[in-house]
Amino acid sequence: MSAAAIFLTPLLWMGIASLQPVGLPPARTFAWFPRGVAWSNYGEIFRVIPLARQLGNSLWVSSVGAAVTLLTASWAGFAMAQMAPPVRRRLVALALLLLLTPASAVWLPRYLLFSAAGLIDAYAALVAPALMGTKSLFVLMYYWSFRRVSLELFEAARLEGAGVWASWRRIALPLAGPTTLAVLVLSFSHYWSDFVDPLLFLKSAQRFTVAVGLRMLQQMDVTNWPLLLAGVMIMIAPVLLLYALLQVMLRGDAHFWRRTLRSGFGGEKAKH
Amino acid sequence: MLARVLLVAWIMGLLAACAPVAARPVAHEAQETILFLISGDPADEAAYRTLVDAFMAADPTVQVDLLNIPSGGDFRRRLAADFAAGAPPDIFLINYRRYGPYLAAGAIEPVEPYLAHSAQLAREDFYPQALDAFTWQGALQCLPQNMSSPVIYYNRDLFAAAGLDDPAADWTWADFLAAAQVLTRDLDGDGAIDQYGLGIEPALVRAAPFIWMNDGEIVDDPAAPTRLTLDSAASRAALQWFVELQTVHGVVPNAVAEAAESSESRFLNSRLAMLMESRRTTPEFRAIDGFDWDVAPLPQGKQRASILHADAYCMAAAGRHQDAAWRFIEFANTRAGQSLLARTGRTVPSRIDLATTEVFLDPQARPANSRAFVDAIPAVRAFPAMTTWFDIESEIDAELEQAFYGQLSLDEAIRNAEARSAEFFQ
Repeated sequence: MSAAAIFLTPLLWMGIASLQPVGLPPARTFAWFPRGVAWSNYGEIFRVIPLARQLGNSLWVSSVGAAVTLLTASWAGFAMAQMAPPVRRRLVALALLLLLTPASAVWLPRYLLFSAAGLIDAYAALVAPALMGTKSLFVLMYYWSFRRVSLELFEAARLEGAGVWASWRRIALPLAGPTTLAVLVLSFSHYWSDFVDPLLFLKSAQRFTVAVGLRMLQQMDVTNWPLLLAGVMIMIAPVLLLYALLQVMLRGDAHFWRRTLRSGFGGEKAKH
Repeated sequence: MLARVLLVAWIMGLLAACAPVAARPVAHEAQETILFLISGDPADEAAYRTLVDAFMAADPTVQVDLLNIPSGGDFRRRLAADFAAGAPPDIFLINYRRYGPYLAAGAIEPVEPYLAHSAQLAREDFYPQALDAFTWQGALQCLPQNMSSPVIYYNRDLFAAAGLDDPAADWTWADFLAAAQVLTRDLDGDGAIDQYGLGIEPALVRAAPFIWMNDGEIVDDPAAPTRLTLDSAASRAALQWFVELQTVHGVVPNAVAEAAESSESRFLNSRLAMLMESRRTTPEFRAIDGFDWDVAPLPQGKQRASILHADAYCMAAAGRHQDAAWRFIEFANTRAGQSLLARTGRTVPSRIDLATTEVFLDPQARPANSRAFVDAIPAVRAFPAMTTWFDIESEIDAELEQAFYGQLSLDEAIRNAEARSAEFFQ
């Protein structure tokens, strides 16, 4: 419960702050609703910025990105797990090295690459990293997960006539359920919250994603911050929803919602 | 089962959301499309959108795509990437303190010849101070659209409650400090300051007017600078007075207090009496209904001085539609074009015929003393025209901030600033 409180308090504070009427800077101390509840903030942000379109764009980019990531990261992880130990070690070292590369170091090379490929101002430029598993961390997560499956199991499957595809689809993947859940949530929120890529690689404001929209709300004066926080609430909603949805799927648990309402999302999260 | 239903619902929602992606206005074949990059908040974007729409209605052969990159840092990052990839925006709006790197790279198409042949605009329409700031090697590079300078916003109710008169037009540094001291108060006697007299950003752009007012200089030769001169007696004395506002007199929030709540927020909450700011905050302050406020000119020193804030429309040298781009810039800087932007209240127009009329000096809108912005113009100076100026200013700011908050002695800060900025003078 205390873990739940730690996770829920900022959310609650944000929810309350997002419902304050605009016109004054945020309160310095905690206050419920000294000047009334402004539900209109949630309508207003759709008027101030094209939030509906940006949400749609983000949902599209994040869903495609996450889906492709699941495939490529699990393929790569599966392949790594099947290799001879020396090669494996080298690939793990390479993956760790890639994790250490600062994101800002690849902005310009990517821009030039996408520019040459004619992908500037296309969503393809945003989801292109998914073809490489998005982050080497996701590949490593699958690799560690698949390595725990004994090689004899795959050996036996091969003797039964199962090919690589069938081994991946019928043996490896079902055994890596929690990893798939984690990679799906992490990669979805990676694309969902990605700010720099849309900023650099998109040219038309119509294609901007919700992260850019949020930054736009952030530029407003301090007296308009309830609008910014309303935008934040809307932006995090799909990620929370996805998380809850996958909890249900993974556990096949019909009582999930009742329990969630009792213990809160934070409590669920803390158990993992 | 529930999970499947939810999953299907989510996918349906996703597909529905994809629909607007395809909807994108397609330029007519006879049209030229130009990209116009700005950085601002949603209100700024709306004002520029109005301007762009008005232009496209007047000149249907050009389609202007307006792109707002929200924050200044992201804007420069995006612009640098665009130029590096050889695909810059046709027009971008930038401050004179920040456009140096693009000049150095030869990335800007000078507007000088375009202006010379313009039937709608003439050099004389604009304040020379704004034009000078965008002039490089004798040629006007970009066309300035505004020219602001800092003023002192003050809370009239707090002044009256403390028994102070509104600041006089010729108030001095001593008057300014005395007022700030009276207005800095511990209201509940707990030993902590509850109301500050002054809010001021510890940056060169705020300190510079005081250096110039004290007969000091920032660089040795403003036309061809070779080094900083913050250590000269006059410059140092002005900087010391500036820094002591916080370190000795405590009339400005210290580093901790500023981090806890910004001076701007304190001013809005009526817990800070004076704020040194440019025209930028006027639209925000117009929404204040809890107290009365106005603006006063900067307090006077040995001579009058202030610092220029100006943004201009720049054309990319690599742009493919320069004539169309110029037609838009021309339209935006006619009387009608600048009027559209002046209505936001955020900018002081760069056109002389607009800054002195009711479009800007709107008697119905606060501040009542908007003239203070116009009256300051004759004494406005700009930072030196250097391709590396932004780097130099950043180095000075980092040191000045530490001195202002008492983390470093002023002499040390000046020495560090001179040492760190030396490479940018070569």
